[in-house]
Amino acid sequence: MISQEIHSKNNLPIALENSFQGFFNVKIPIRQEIENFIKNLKDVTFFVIEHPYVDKVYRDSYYYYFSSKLNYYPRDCIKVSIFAKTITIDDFYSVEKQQELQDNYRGFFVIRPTYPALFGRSIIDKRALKNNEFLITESEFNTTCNGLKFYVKGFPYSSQDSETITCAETSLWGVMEYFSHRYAEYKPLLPSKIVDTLKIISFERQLPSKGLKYGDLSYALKEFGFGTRIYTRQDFKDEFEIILASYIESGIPTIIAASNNDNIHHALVCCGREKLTESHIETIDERAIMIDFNSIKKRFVFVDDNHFPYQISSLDRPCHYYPSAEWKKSRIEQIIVPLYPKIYLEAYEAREYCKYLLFEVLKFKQITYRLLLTSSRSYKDEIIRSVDLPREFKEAVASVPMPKFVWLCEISDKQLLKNHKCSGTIMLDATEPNIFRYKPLLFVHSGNIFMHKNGNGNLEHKKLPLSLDEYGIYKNNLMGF
Amino acid sequence: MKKNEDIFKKSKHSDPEAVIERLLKKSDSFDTKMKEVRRDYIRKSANSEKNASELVLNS
Repeated sequence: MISQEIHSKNNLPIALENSFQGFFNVKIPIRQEIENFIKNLKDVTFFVIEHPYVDKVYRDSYYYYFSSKLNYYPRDCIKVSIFAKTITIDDFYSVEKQQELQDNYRGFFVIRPTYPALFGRSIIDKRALKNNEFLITESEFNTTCNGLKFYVKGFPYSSQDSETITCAETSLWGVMEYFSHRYAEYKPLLPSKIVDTLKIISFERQLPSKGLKYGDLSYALKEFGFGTRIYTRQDFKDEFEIILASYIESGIPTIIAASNNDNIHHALVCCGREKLTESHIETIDERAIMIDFNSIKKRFVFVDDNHFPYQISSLDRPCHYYPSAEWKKSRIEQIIVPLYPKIYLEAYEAREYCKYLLFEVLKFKQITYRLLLTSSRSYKDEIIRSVDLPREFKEAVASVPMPKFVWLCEISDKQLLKNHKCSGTIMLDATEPNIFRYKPLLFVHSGNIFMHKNGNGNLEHKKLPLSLDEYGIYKNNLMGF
Repeated sequence: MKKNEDIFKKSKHSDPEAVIERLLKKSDSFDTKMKEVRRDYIRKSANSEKNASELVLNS
Protein backbone atom coordinates (compact mmCIF):
# COMPACT_ATOMS: atom_id res chain seq x y z
CA MET A 1 0.00 0.00 0.00
CA ILE A 2 1.15 3.52 -0.73
CA SER A 3 1.30 5.67 2.38
CA GLN A 4 0.45 9.41 2.23
CA GLU A 5 0.75 12.07 4.90
CA ILE A 6 0.27 15.83 4.71
CA HIS A 7 2.40 18.14 6.87
CA SER A 8 3.11 21.82 7.30
CA LYS A 9 6.64 23.20 6.99
CA ASN A 10 7.07 23.22 10.76
CA ASN A 11 6.08 19.58 11.13
CA LEU A 12 7.90 18.20 8.10
CA PRO A 13 11.35 17.54 9.64
CA ILE A 14 9.94 15.32 12.42
CA ALA A 15 7.35 13.66 10.18
CA LEU A 16 9.87 12.94 7.43
CA GLU A 17 12.38 11.60 9.94
CA ASN A 18 9.70 9.23 11.25
CA SER A 19 8.83 8.12 7.71
CA PHE A 20 12.52 7.69 6.85
CA GLN A 21 13.24 5.60 9.95
CA GLY A 22 10.05 3.57 9.63
CA PHE A 23 10.09 2.95 5.89
CA PHE A 24 13.81 2.25 5.56
CA ASN A 25 13.96 0.51 8.94
CA VAL A 26 16.95 2.53 10.19
CA LYS A 27 17.59 4.60 13.29
CA ILE A 28 19.37 7.50 11.56
CA PRO A 29 18.25 11.02 12.56
CA ILE A 30 17.69 13.21 9.49
CA ARG A 31 15.73 16.06 11.07
CA GLN A 32 18.57 18.58 10.82
CA GLU A 33 19.21 17.80 7.14
CA ILE A 34 15.51 18.28 6.34
CA GLU A 35 15.37 21.57 8.27
CA ASN A 36 18.39 22.87 6.37
CA PHE A 37 16.97 21.76 3.05
CA ILE A 38 13.55 23.39 3.42
CA LYS A 39 14.62 26.58 5.21
CA ASN A 40 14.61 28.56 1.93
CA LEU A 41 10.99 27.59 1.18
CA LYS A 42 8.15 29.95 2.06
CA ASP A 43 6.77 29.50 5.56
CA VAL A 44 3.28 28.71 4.28
CA THR A 45 4.19 25.52 2.45
CA PHE A 46 2.59 22.10 2.77
CA PHE A 47 4.07 18.75 1.92
CA VAL A 48 2.71 15.35 0.93
CA ILE A 49 5.00 12.49 1.98
CA GLU A 50 4.50 9.33 -0.11
CA HIS A 51 6.21 5.97 -0.04
CA PRO A 52 7.17 3.64 -1.56
CA TYR A 53 8.22 5.74 -4.56
CA VAL A 54 10.19 4.48 -7.55
CA ASP A 55 12.73 7.14 -8.49
CA LYS A 56 14.18 6.34 -11.92
CA VAL A 57 17.62 7.77 -11.16
CA TYR A 58 18.11 6.02 -7.81
CA ARG A 59 16.59 2.79 -9.17
CA ASP A 60 19.21 2.84 -11.93
CA SER A 61 22.01 3.36 -9.39
CA TYR A 62 20.49 0.64 -7.23
CA TYR A 63 20.53 -2.04 -9.94
CA TYR A 64 23.84 -0.94 -11.39
CA TYR A 65 25.70 -0.62 -8.10
CA PHE A 66 24.00 -0.64 -4.67
CA SER A 67 22.30 -4.04 -5.12
CA SER A 68 25.70 -5.69 -5.56
CA LYS A 69 26.75 -4.78 -2.00
CA LEU A 70 26.47 -7.05 1.02
CA ASN A 71 24.80 -4.33 3.09
CA TYR A 72 21.10 -3.97 2.53
CA TYR A 73 19.95 -1.00 0.44
CA PRO A 74 16.22 -0.57 -0.21
CA ARG A 75 15.32 -0.07 -3.86
CA ASP A 76 12.48 2.39 -3.17
CA CYS A 77 12.49 6.04 -2.13
CA ILE A 78 10.24 8.54 -0.39
CA LYS A 79 8.69 11.34 -2.46
CA VAL A 80 7.80 14.70 -0.94
CA SER A 81 5.45 16.90 -2.99
CA ILE A 82 5.28 20.62 -2.32
CA PHE A 83 2.14 22.78 -2.25
CA ALA A 84 1.79 26.51 -1.67
CA LYS A 85 -1.35 26.29 0.47
CA THR A 86 -3.12 24.11 3.00
CA ILE A 87 -4.38 20.93 1.39
CA THR A 88 -6.19 17.80 2.51
CA ILE A 89 -6.32 14.30 1.08
CA ASP A 90 -9.98 14.95 0.25
CA ASP A 91 -8.89 17.72 -2.19
CA PHE A 92 -7.30 15.10 -4.46
CA TYR A 93 -10.63 13.28 -4.84
CA SER A 94 -12.71 16.43 -5.34
CA VAL A 95 -12.90 17.28 -9.06
CA GLU A 96 -13.58 20.94 -8.20
CA LYS A 97 -10.39 21.16 -6.15
CA GLN A 98 -8.03 19.49 -8.62
CA GLN A 99 -7.24 22.61 -10.68
CA GLU A 100 -6.59 24.51 -7.45
CA LEU A 101 -4.16 21.79 -6.41
CA GLN A 102 -2.31 22.18 -9.71
CA ASP A 103 -2.24 25.97 -9.31
CA ASN A 104 -0.58 25.53 -5.93
CA TYR A 105 1.73 22.67 -6.90
CA ARG A 106 5.39 23.66 -6.47
CA GLY A 107 7.26 20.47 -7.33
CA PHE A 108 8.82 17.63 -5.41
CA PHE A 109 11.96 16.20 -3.89
CA VAL A 110 12.98 12.61 -3.36
CA ILE A 111 14.55 11.08 -0.25
CA ARG A 112 16.94 8.20 -1.06
CA PRO A 113 18.05 5.53 1.41
CA THR A 114 21.67 6.64 0.88
CA TYR A 115 22.38 8.57 4.07
CA PRO A 116 24.03 11.10 4.38
CA ALA A 117 23.33 11.91 0.69
CA LEU A 118 19.57 12.03 1.11
CA PHE A 119 18.15 14.19 -1.64
CA GLY A 120 17.54 12.51 -4.99
CA ARG A 121 15.88 13.73 -8.17
CA SER A 122 14.03 16.95 -7.43
CA ILE A 123 12.23 19.64 -9.39
CA ILE A 124 11.31 22.69 -7.36
CA ASP A 125 9.33 25.62 -8.75
CA LYS A 126 11.17 28.83 -7.87
CA ARG A 127 7.87 30.31 -6.67
CA ALA A 128 8.18 28.00 -3.64
CA LEU A 129 11.21 29.97 -2.41
CA LYS A 130 11.13 32.94 -0.04
CA ASN A 131 13.51 34.82 -2.32
CA ASN A 132 12.51 34.17 -5.91
CA GLU A 133 13.58 37.44 -7.53
CA PHE A 134 15.66 35.62 -10.11
CA LEU A 135 15.31 34.26 -13.63
CA ILE A 136 16.22 30.75 -14.67
CA THR A 137 16.00 28.63 -17.73
CA GLU A 138 13.54 25.86 -16.92
CA SER A 139 11.80 22.82 -18.37
CA GLU A 140 8.36 21.43 -17.68
CA PHE A 141 8.13 18.07 -15.91
CA ASN A 142 5.13 15.79 -15.52
CA THR A 143 4.79 13.99 -12.24
CA THR A 144 2.15 12.66 -9.86
CA CYS A 145 1.05 13.08 -6.26
CA ASN A 146 -1.48 10.75 -4.68
CA GLY A 147 -2.22 9.32 -8.15
CA LEU A 148 -3.09 12.71 -9.64
CA LYS A 149 -0.97 14.09 -12.51
CA PHE A 150 0.76 17.44 -12.01
CA TYR A 151 3.25 19.48 -13.97
CA VAL A 152 6.00 21.68 -12.62
CA LYS A 153 8.57 24.03 -14.16
CA GLY A 154 12.05 24.20 -12.75
CA PHE A 155 15.67 23.18 -13.17
CA PRO A 156 16.53 19.59 -12.16
CA TYR A 157 18.39 19.04 -8.91
CA SER A 158 19.91 16.07 -7.11
CA SER A 159 22.51 15.77 -4.38
CA GLN A 160 25.47 13.51 -5.04
CA ASP A 161 25.43 10.04 -3.46
CA SER A 162 29.26 10.15 -3.75
CA GLU A 163 29.38 6.53 -4.94
CA THR A 164 27.57 6.40 -8.29
CA ILE A 165 27.24 10.14 -8.77
CA THR A 166 29.56 12.91 -7.62
CA CYS A 167 29.18 16.61 -8.42
CA ALA A 168 30.41 16.00 -11.97
CA GLU A 169 27.82 13.33 -12.75
CA THR A 170 24.96 15.26 -11.09
CA SER A 171 25.81 18.36 -13.14
CA LEU A 172 25.83 16.27 -16.30
CA TRP A 173 22.56 14.60 -15.30
CA GLY A 174 20.91 17.96 -14.47
CA VAL A 175 21.84 19.47 -17.84
CA MET A 176 20.60 16.42 -19.75
CA GLU A 177 17.41 16.21 -17.67
CA TYR A 178 16.76 19.86 -18.52
CA PHE A 179 17.42 19.53 -22.26
CA SER A 180 15.59 16.21 -22.66
CA HIS A 181 12.41 17.67 -21.16
CA ARG A 182 12.63 20.75 -23.35
CA TYR A 183 13.84 19.54 -26.75
CA ALA A 184 12.97 16.33 -28.58
CA GLU A 185 16.58 15.97 -29.83
CA TYR A 186 17.93 14.90 -26.42
CA LYS A 187 17.34 11.92 -24.14
CA PRO A 188 17.26 11.90 -20.33
CA LEU A 189 20.35 10.49 -18.69
CA LEU A 190 20.77 7.83 -16.00
CA PRO A 191 23.95 7.20 -13.97
CA SER A 192 24.64 3.88 -15.71
CA LYS A 193 24.57 5.62 -19.10
CA ILE A 194 27.33 7.99 -17.95
CA VAL A 195 29.47 5.01 -16.97
CA ASP A 196 28.76 3.26 -20.29
CA THR A 197 29.52 6.37 -22.33
CA LEU A 198 32.82 7.09 -20.61
CA LYS A 199 34.16 3.53 -20.33
CA ILE A 200 35.83 3.81 -23.74
CA ILE A 201 38.06 6.64 -22.47
CA SER A 202 38.52 5.36 -18.88
CA PHE A 203 41.70 3.59 -17.82
CA GLU A 204 40.42 2.56 -14.39
CA ARG A 205 37.20 1.23 -12.89
CA GLN A 206 34.47 3.86 -12.88
CA LEU A 207 32.51 2.79 -9.78
CA PRO A 208 32.66 3.83 -7.01
CA SER A 209 33.00 7.16 -8.78
CA LYS A 210 35.96 9.33 -7.91
CA GLY A 211 34.66 12.19 -10.05
CA LEU A 212 35.12 13.07 -13.69
CA LYS A 213 37.70 15.08 -15.52
CA TYR A 214 36.48 18.18 -17.23
CA GLY A 215 37.34 16.61 -20.56
CA ASP A 216 35.16 13.59 -19.62
CA LEU A 217 32.17 15.88 -19.07
CA SER A 218 32.75 17.57 -22.39
CA TYR A 219 33.19 14.23 -24.16
CA ALA A 220 29.97 12.86 -22.63
CA LEU A 221 27.96 15.93 -23.66
CA LYS A 222 29.36 15.59 -27.18
CA GLU A 223 28.28 11.94 -27.22
CA PHE A 224 24.80 13.00 -26.05
CA GLY A 225 24.39 15.25 -29.08
CA PHE A 226 25.87 18.65 -28.19
CA GLY A 227 28.47 20.76 -29.95
CA THR A 228 30.29 21.28 -26.66
CA ARG A 229 32.57 24.29 -26.08
CA ILE A 230 35.10 24.64 -23.27
CA TYR A 231 36.32 28.03 -21.99
CA THR A 232 38.98 28.52 -19.33
CA ARG A 233 39.63 31.66 -17.29
CA GLN A 234 43.35 31.12 -17.86
CA ASP A 235 42.93 31.46 -21.64
CA PHE A 236 39.99 33.82 -22.07
CA LYS A 237 41.00 36.10 -19.18
CA ASP A 238 38.87 39.31 -19.08
CA GLU A 239 36.37 37.94 -21.57
CA PHE A 240 35.79 34.75 -19.56
CA GLU A 241 32.98 35.97 -17.27
CA ILE A 242 31.42 38.01 -20.09
CA ILE A 243 31.25 34.91 -22.28
CA LEU A 244 29.67 32.94 -19.42
CA ALA A 245 27.15 35.75 -18.80
CA SER A 246 26.22 35.84 -22.48
CA TYR A 247 25.47 32.11 -22.50
CA ILE A 248 23.34 32.49 -19.34
CA GLU A 249 21.54 35.43 -21.00
CA SER A 250 20.94 33.00 -23.87
CA GLY A 251 19.20 30.56 -21.51
CA ILE A 252 21.88 27.89 -21.89
CA PRO A 253 22.62 26.07 -18.62
CA THR A 254 26.38 25.90 -18.32
CA ILE A 255 28.55 23.50 -16.33
CA ILE A 256 30.97 25.38 -14.11
CA ALA A 257 34.25 24.14 -12.63
CA ALA A 258 34.97 26.00 -9.40
CA SER A 259 38.29 25.50 -7.70
CA ASN A 260 40.37 26.96 -4.87
CA ASN A 261 43.48 25.64 -6.69
CA ASP A 262 44.15 23.36 -3.74
CA ASN A 263 41.76 20.68 -2.48
CA ILE A 264 38.42 21.82 -3.95
CA HIS A 265 37.46 21.07 -7.54
CA HIS A 266 33.73 21.28 -7.84
CA ALA A 267 31.20 21.03 -10.68
CA LEU A 268 27.93 22.93 -10.54
CA VAL A 269 25.45 24.33 -13.03
CA CYS A 270 24.76 28.00 -13.66
CA CYS A 271 21.19 28.34 -14.98
CA GLY A 272 20.09 31.94 -14.55
CA ARG A 273 20.63 35.33 -12.96
CA GLU A 274 18.96 37.72 -10.56
CA LYS A 275 16.33 40.12 -11.91
CA LEU A 276 17.87 43.45 -12.79
CA THR A 277 16.86 46.66 -11.08
CA GLU A 278 17.62 50.30 -11.79
CA SER A 279 20.60 50.08 -9.44
CA HIS A 280 22.22 47.49 -11.73
CA ILE A 281 21.67 49.71 -14.76
CA GLU A 282 23.01 52.73 -12.83
CA THR A 283 26.42 51.05 -12.73
CA ILE A 284 26.75 51.64 -16.50
CA ASP A 285 29.29 54.37 -17.13
CA GLU A 286 27.63 56.63 -19.69
CA ARG A 287 30.98 58.08 -20.68
CA ALA A 288 32.28 54.72 -21.83
CA ILE A 289 32.47 54.31 -25.59
CA MET A 290 30.76 50.95 -25.54
CA ILE A 291 29.41 48.80 -22.71
CA ASP A 292 28.66 45.11 -22.99
CA PHE A 293 25.48 44.40 -21.02
CA ASN A 294 26.98 41.02 -20.10
CA SER A 295 29.78 42.80 -18.22
CA ILE A 296 27.33 44.52 -15.81
CA LYS A 297 27.91 43.20 -12.27
CA LYS A 298 25.05 40.99 -11.20
CA ARG A 299 24.50 37.77 -9.32
CA PHE A 300 23.82 34.42 -10.97
CA VAL A 301 21.79 31.34 -10.06
CA PHE A 302 23.60 28.06 -9.39
CA VAL A 303 22.33 24.53 -8.96
CA ASP A 304 24.90 23.00 -6.62
CA ASP A 305 24.49 19.40 -5.47
CA ASN A 306 25.87 20.24 -2.00
CA HIS A 307 23.15 22.82 -1.34
CA PHE A 308 19.48 23.56 -1.85
CA PRO A 309 18.78 24.40 -5.55
CA TYR A 310 18.95 27.97 -6.85
CA GLN A 311 21.82 29.41 -4.84
CA ILE A 312 22.52 33.01 -5.78
CA SER A 313 26.08 34.20 -6.05
CA SER A 314 28.45 36.35 -8.06
CA LEU A 315 30.73 34.99 -10.76
CA ASP A 316 33.89 36.07 -8.93
CA ARG A 317 32.93 34.18 -5.72
CA PRO A 318 30.46 31.49 -6.82
CA CYS A 319 30.69 29.40 -3.61
CA HIS A 320 30.27 32.22 -1.10
CA TYR A 321 27.19 30.47 0.37
CA TYR A 322 29.41 27.69 1.79
CA PRO A 323 30.26 28.15 5.48
CA SER A 324 33.89 27.10 4.97
CA ALA A 325 36.52 29.71 4.12
CA GLU A 326 38.22 27.19 1.82
CA TRP A 327 35.07 26.93 -0.28
CA LYS A 328 34.41 30.66 -0.25
CA LYS A 329 37.81 31.15 -1.91
CA SER A 330 36.81 29.05 -4.94
CA ARG A 331 36.75 30.73 -8.32
CA ILE A 332 35.25 29.66 -11.61
CA GLU A 333 38.18 28.33 -13.60
CA GLN A 334 36.44 26.66 -16.50
CA ILE A 335 33.03 26.33 -18.12
CA ILE A 336 31.48 23.80 -20.47
CA VAL A 337 28.73 25.09 -22.71
CA PRO A 338 26.36 22.51 -24.21
CA LEU A 339 25.64 24.16 -27.56
CA TYR A 340 23.33 22.90 -30.26
CA PRO A 341 25.73 21.16 -32.68
CA LYS A 342 25.00 23.50 -35.62
CA ILE A 343 25.93 26.62 -33.65
CA TYR A 344 29.30 27.15 -35.31
CA LEU A 345 29.66 30.83 -34.41
CA GLU A 346 30.32 30.98 -30.66
CA ALA A 347 30.23 33.81 -28.13
CA TYR A 348 33.82 35.10 -28.36
CA GLU A 349 33.81 35.59 -32.12
CA ALA A 350 30.19 36.80 -32.25
CA ARG A 351 31.03 39.45 -29.63
CA GLU A 352 34.19 40.62 -31.38
CA TYR A 353 32.34 40.81 -34.70
CA CYS A 354 29.48 42.85 -33.19
CA LYS A 355 31.91 45.19 -31.46
CA TYR A 356 33.73 45.87 -34.70
CA LEU A 357 30.51 46.34 -36.62
CA LEU A 358 29.07 48.75 -34.05
CA PHE A 359 32.22 50.74 -33.51
CA GLU A 360 34.06 50.74 -36.82
CA VAL A 361 31.38 50.20 -39.46
CA LEU A 362 28.28 51.78 -37.93
CA LYS A 363 30.45 54.34 -36.07
CA PHE A 364 28.54 54.08 -32.81
CA LYS A 365 29.67 55.70 -29.60
CA GLN A 366 28.38 55.58 -26.04
CA ILE A 367 26.01 52.67 -26.36
CA THR A 368 25.25 49.51 -24.44
CA TYR A 369 24.85 46.32 -26.41
CA ARG A 370 23.29 43.08 -25.22
CA LEU A 371 24.40 39.93 -27.00
CA LEU A 372 22.59 36.64 -26.66
CA LEU A 373 21.87 33.47 -28.53
CA THR A 374 18.27 32.54 -29.24
CA SER A 375 16.19 30.40 -31.53
CA SER A 376 14.98 32.26 -34.61
CA ARG A 377 11.53 30.70 -34.17
CA SER A 378 11.15 32.16 -30.68
CA TYR A 379 12.51 35.52 -31.81
CA LYS A 380 10.20 35.83 -34.81
CA ASP A 381 7.28 34.64 -32.70
CA GLU A 382 7.93 37.27 -29.99
CA ILE A 383 8.28 40.04 -32.61
CA ILE A 384 5.15 39.06 -34.53
CA ARG A 385 3.05 38.66 -31.36
CA SER A 386 4.14 42.05 -29.99
CA VAL A 387 1.27 44.50 -29.57
CA ASP A 388 3.63 47.50 -29.77
CA LEU A 389 5.56 46.88 -32.98
CA PRO A 390 4.35 48.15 -36.37
CA ARG A 391 3.34 45.62 -38.97
CA GLU A 392 6.06 46.74 -41.43
CA PHE A 393 8.79 45.87 -38.93
CA LYS A 394 7.17 42.51 -38.20
CA GLU A 395 6.99 41.75 -41.92
CA ALA A 396 10.60 42.80 -42.44
CA VAL A 397 11.82 40.46 -39.64
CA ALA A 398 9.54 37.59 -40.70
CA SER A 399 10.83 37.73 -44.28
CA VAL A 400 14.54 37.30 -43.38
CA PRO A 401 15.65 33.68 -43.85
CA MET A 402 17.26 32.52 -40.59
CA PRO A 403 18.89 29.34 -39.27
CA LYS A 404 17.56 27.56 -36.17
CA PHE A 405 19.76 29.67 -33.85
CA VAL A 406 20.83 33.30 -34.19
CA TRP A 407 22.94 35.79 -32.25
CA LEU A 408 20.84 38.77 -31.26
CA CYS A 409 22.64 42.02 -30.45
CA GLU A 410 20.36 44.71 -29.03
CA ILE A 411 21.59 48.30 -29.19
CA SER A 412 20.59 50.35 -26.20
CA ASP A 413 21.69 52.85 -23.57
CA LYS A 414 21.23 53.41 -19.86
CA GLN A 415 17.89 55.18 -20.08
CA LEU A 416 16.43 52.73 -22.54
CA LEU A 417 17.57 49.73 -20.52
CA LYS A 418 15.89 51.11 -17.40
CA ASN A 419 12.65 50.90 -19.37
CA HIS A 420 13.51 47.47 -20.80
CA LYS A 421 13.88 49.00 -24.29
CA CYS A 422 16.39 48.97 -27.09
CA SER A 423 16.82 51.22 -30.11
CA GLY A 424 18.19 48.84 -32.69
CA THR A 425 19.10 45.27 -33.49
CA ILE A 426 21.91 43.39 -35.19
CA MET A 427 21.22 39.77 -35.94
CA LEU A 428 23.91 37.24 -36.81
CA ASP A 429 23.70 33.78 -38.33
CA ALA A 430 24.92 31.32 -35.65
CA THR A 431 25.76 28.75 -38.35
CA GLU A 432 28.32 31.08 -39.97
CA PRO A 433 31.77 31.07 -38.31
CA ASN A 434 33.23 32.96 -41.27
CA ILE A 435 33.32 36.40 -39.68
CA PHE A 436 34.82 38.27 -42.60
CA ARG A 437 32.78 41.24 -43.79
CA TYR A 438 29.04 40.68 -43.78
CA LYS A 439 29.09 36.87 -43.96
CA PRO A 440 27.34 36.22 -40.62
CA LEU A 441 25.11 39.29 -40.83
CA LEU A 442 21.36 38.61 -41.16
CA PHE A 443 19.97 42.08 -40.55
CA VAL A 444 20.60 45.45 -38.94
CA HIS A 445 17.71 47.61 -37.84
CA SER A 446 17.49 51.10 -36.46
CA GLY A 447 15.05 53.95 -36.92
CA ASN A 448 13.34 53.45 -40.24
CA ILE A 449 16.22 51.58 -41.84
CA PHE A 450 16.12 47.82 -42.17
CA MET A 451 19.28 46.43 -43.79
CA HIS A 452 19.23 42.72 -44.48
CA LYS A 453 20.63 39.93 -46.54
CA ASN A 454 18.45 38.95 -49.49
CA GLY A 455 17.85 35.46 -50.89
CA ASN A 456 21.08 35.64 -52.92
CA GLY A 457 23.14 36.46 -49.84
CA ASN A 458 23.63 40.09 -50.88
CA LEU A 459 22.97 43.06 -48.61
CA GLU A 460 20.10 45.40 -49.35
CA HIS A 461 18.06 47.86 -47.32
CA LYS A 462 14.55 49.17 -47.15
CA LYS A 463 12.95 52.12 -45.41
CA LEU A 464 10.12 51.45 -43.00
CA PRO A 465 7.23 53.95 -43.28
CA LEU A 466 7.75 55.13 -39.70
CA SER A 467 10.89 55.41 -37.64
CA LEU A 468 10.97 52.81 -34.87
CA ASP A 469 13.19 54.47 -32.29
CA GLU A 470 12.62 52.22 -29.32
CA TYR A 471 11.02 48.88 -28.64
CA GLY A 472 10.97 46.16 -26.00
CA ILE A 473 14.05 44.06 -25.41
CA TYR A 474 13.88 40.33 -26.02
CA LYS A 475 12.84 38.44 -22.88
CA ASN A 476 12.01 34.97 -24.11
CA ASN A 477 15.22 33.16 -23.02
CA LEU A 478 14.94 33.77 -19.28
CA MET A 479 11.31 34.92 -19.40
CA GLY A 480 12.06 38.30 -17.89
CA PHE A 481 14.71 40.96 -17.32
CA MET B 1 13.37 59.90 -21.39
CA LYS B 2 16.16 60.62 -23.77
CA LYS B 3 14.97 60.25 -27.33
CA ASN B 4 17.11 57.74 -29.08
CA GLU B 5 18.50 58.68 -32.41
CA ASP B 6 18.61 56.70 -35.56
CA ILE B 7 21.71 54.54 -35.77
CA PHE B 8 22.49 55.81 -39.23
CA LYS B 9 22.04 59.42 -38.23
CA LYS B 10 24.51 58.86 -35.43
CA SER B 11 27.04 57.38 -37.81
CA LYS B 12 29.43 59.48 -39.83
CA HIS B 13 27.67 58.55 -43.05
CA SER B 14 23.95 59.01 -42.66
CA ASP B 15 23.24 57.07 -45.83
CA PRO B 16 22.70 53.32 -45.25
CA GLU B 17 24.13 52.76 -48.75
CA ALA B 18 27.40 54.05 -47.36
CA VAL B 19 27.26 51.52 -44.53
CA ILE B 20 26.59 48.73 -47.01
CA GLU B 21 29.43 49.96 -49.17
CA ARG B 22 31.74 49.93 -46.18
CA LEU B 23 30.78 46.31 -45.55
CA LEU B 24 31.22 45.30 -49.18
CA LYS B 25 34.35 47.10 -50.25
CA LYS B 26 37.74 45.66 -49.54
CA SER B 27 38.86 47.00 -46.23
CA ASP B 28 42.22 46.04 -44.86
CA SER B 29 41.33 47.05 -41.32
CA PHE B 30 38.16 44.90 -41.21
CA ASP B 31 39.97 41.91 -42.68
CA THR B 32 42.99 42.39 -40.44
CA LYS B 33 40.86 42.72 -37.31
CA MET B 34 38.78 39.66 -38.09
CA LYS B 35 41.89 37.61 -38.93
CA GLU B 36 43.27 38.62 -35.55
CA VAL B 37 40.00 37.69 -33.81
CA ARG B 38 39.95 34.32 -35.55
CA ARG B 39 43.60 33.61 -34.70
CA ASP B 40 43.05 34.60 -31.04
CA TYR B 41 39.93 32.50 -30.80
CA ILE B 42 41.59 29.40 -32.25
CA ARG B 43 44.59 29.76 -29.92
CA LYS B 44 42.47 30.37 -26.80
CA SER B 45 40.10 27.61 -27.77
CA ALA B 46 42.85 25.04 -28.34
CA ASN B 47 44.55 25.99 -25.06
CA SER B 48 41.23 25.76 -23.19
CA GLU B 49 40.70 22.23 -24.42
CA LYS B 50 44.24 21.27 -23.42
CA ASN B 51 44.12 22.99 -20.01
CA ALA B 52 40.68 21.69 -19.09
CA SER B 53 41.10 18.02 -19.68
CA GLU B 54 43.10 16.98 -16.59
CA LEU B 55 41.15 18.53 -13.74
CA VAL B 56 39.08 15.96 -11.76
CA LEU B 57 35.84 17.40 -10.38
CA ASN B 58 34.66 15.55 -7.31
CA SER B 59 34.10 17.94 -4.38
